[in-house]
Amino acid sequence: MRFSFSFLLCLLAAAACGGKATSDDDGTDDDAGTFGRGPDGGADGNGFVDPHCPEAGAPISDLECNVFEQNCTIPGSACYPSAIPPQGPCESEVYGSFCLPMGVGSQGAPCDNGDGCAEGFVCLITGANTQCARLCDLGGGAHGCSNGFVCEPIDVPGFSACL
Amino acid sequence: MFVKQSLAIGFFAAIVAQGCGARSQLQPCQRDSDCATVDMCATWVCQYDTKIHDKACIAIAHTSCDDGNPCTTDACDKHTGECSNTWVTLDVDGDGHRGPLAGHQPGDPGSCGDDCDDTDPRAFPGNAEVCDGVDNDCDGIIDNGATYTPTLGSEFQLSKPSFDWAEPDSFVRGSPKSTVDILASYDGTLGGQLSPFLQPLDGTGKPTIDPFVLTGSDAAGSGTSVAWTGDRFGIAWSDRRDGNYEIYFALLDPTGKKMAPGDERITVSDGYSLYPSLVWTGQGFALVWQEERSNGDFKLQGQRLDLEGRLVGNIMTLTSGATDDQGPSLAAGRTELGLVWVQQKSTSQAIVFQTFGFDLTGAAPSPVTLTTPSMDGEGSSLVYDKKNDRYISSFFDASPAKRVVYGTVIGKDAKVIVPPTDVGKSPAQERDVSLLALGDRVLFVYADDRDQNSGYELYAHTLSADLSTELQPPTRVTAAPGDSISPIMTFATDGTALVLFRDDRGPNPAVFETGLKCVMPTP
Repeated sequence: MRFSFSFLLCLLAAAACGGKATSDDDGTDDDAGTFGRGPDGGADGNGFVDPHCPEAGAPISDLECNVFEQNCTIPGSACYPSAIPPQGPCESEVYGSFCLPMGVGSQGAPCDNGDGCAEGFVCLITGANTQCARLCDLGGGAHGCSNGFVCEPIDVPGFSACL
Repeated sequence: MFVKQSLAIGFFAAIVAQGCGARSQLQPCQRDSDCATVDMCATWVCQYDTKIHDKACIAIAHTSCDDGNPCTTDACDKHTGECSNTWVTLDVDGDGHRGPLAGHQPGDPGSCGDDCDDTDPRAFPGNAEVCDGVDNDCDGIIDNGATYTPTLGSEFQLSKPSFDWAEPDSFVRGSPKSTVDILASYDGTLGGQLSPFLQPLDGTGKPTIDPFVLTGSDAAGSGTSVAWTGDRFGIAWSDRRDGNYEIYFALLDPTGKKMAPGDERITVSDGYSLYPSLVWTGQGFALVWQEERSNGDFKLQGQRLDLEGRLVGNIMTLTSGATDDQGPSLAAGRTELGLVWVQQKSTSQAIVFQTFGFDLTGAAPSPVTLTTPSMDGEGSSLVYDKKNDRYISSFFDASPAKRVVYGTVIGKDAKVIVPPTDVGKSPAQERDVSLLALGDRVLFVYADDRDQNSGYELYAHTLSADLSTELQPPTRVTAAPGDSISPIMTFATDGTALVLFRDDRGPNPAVFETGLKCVMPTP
């Protein structure tokens, strides 16, 4: 199964929620020094050493709402996972959930051309189509997937959907 | 016998003298011995030349270096008079057999080479076939007669436990002469950061060093596609460092080190550029991906790169029309590229196939549809069947009622040879299929829920090359609770069919590896 990408919502989130980011102190990586970067390629003259971004912090998490509890208070809005790409070289990304205008699409419904997904669903580019998929919990429990579907991580860390 | 003899200096100079009206440049002489060192590839005499009214060296006979071999370039060294006969083909892998001329079948008349794989010294005519995932004797069949036996319980977790999750992307074998025998790539989230990771493996599929991040930025990247050229790996992926998903490319040397010039941005697009598929054609890299248009639909784009990673030509648009084209998968044939992808139409989700030249031009007028109208095709992949000079595609029907995995065979003329065939024949749900084309048979591995073991398990099934005959029945490959999905296969050096897959037996989805042991028939 191909990894799936969230569609459009990151752009909406950037417009609606930019500047509200807060740091996530739990986002540090104790293992990054062990297997965070590739082998040194500079020794033989033909290699290349990635410049990396030593000043960049961990990704920023901004959870405005809960996608399972759907606790947005603005009428006509629902909670969706979103990502804001870096706004400049070596700046951090923002991962989170935001209250955005609610659509009507359920599992498998097309969601390009501005057609949004219903609450509890997210619009994904799957490599087969651009469709609404039910949000799920990778750990299963009450937010699992129905028969035949598998809970798949999406490109907003911390969120997954049934595909 | 490609003759490349030196021109006789007398003849050349005479033309110059006539055409320009200049003074003679012929070597003056008084006797034949004065001409001995002019050009050792000819017999010279000192004669009176009526055009220049003087004596000059004139060639009266030329040395023939033609060795009668049509596969050599014949030349004469004018300083020594010695002939050289240079082969027009090479023995790159040093196994004593030359590769064929481009566009020729190995061993065919005029091919000037009979090595079926000149990147691998284990493959040449007359060699003994052993379990190694290689067509040792060049009969077009890999590990003739071998069966594949799951080693239940031998699977191990490849991604580190500290990953939030990990899913496999690519699994590619290098050569036995490279430091990295096999390169695995997967996406994962570590410390809240989504990144593509690389894992070098030895010939048995065991890690040689810890996995490392592919990218040099701290933005999200994923969806890697890897190709081996014979002396290096090429890798392409989607990267969000520019504020939008763009396609990037890099080269890795045989030890896994990133080579200069480092990360190369391929696309500059307002929309998302995703799901790259990369192959090595023998002449260069071919890279295809899906790129978003302003209406939200995707079209397939392509770019060629040379061995050094330099762009060759411009980005080419490969699909057009009122369709949404996603999920491309390339395979390099002997003389062309095969491409499958998912084409979203108003009423169906079709898997389609089309061929292109290695330069990404010369496409057939329209792609052929592999799925039936009632199918929702997903997860398409494509491999080239070298023995039969055709392609095998696998995919699954994602129709909600029942998911089924299929295989289909397509000719290089884009005609369907074997229509979609139910590969799993399972009464339960199936998905995510990977295959290895072995020449006379095809090994499929796919996810199957027939055991109701708290999710999908992986199964292996071997069919004949035309998918009509079952050679080994469906056999369970994994057995742990939780889903085992997304298999990708390659060969270990002992012929084991290694399987990289996602497994949910632990608290987080992780990348696991297992193998189907190659067993040769008893003589």
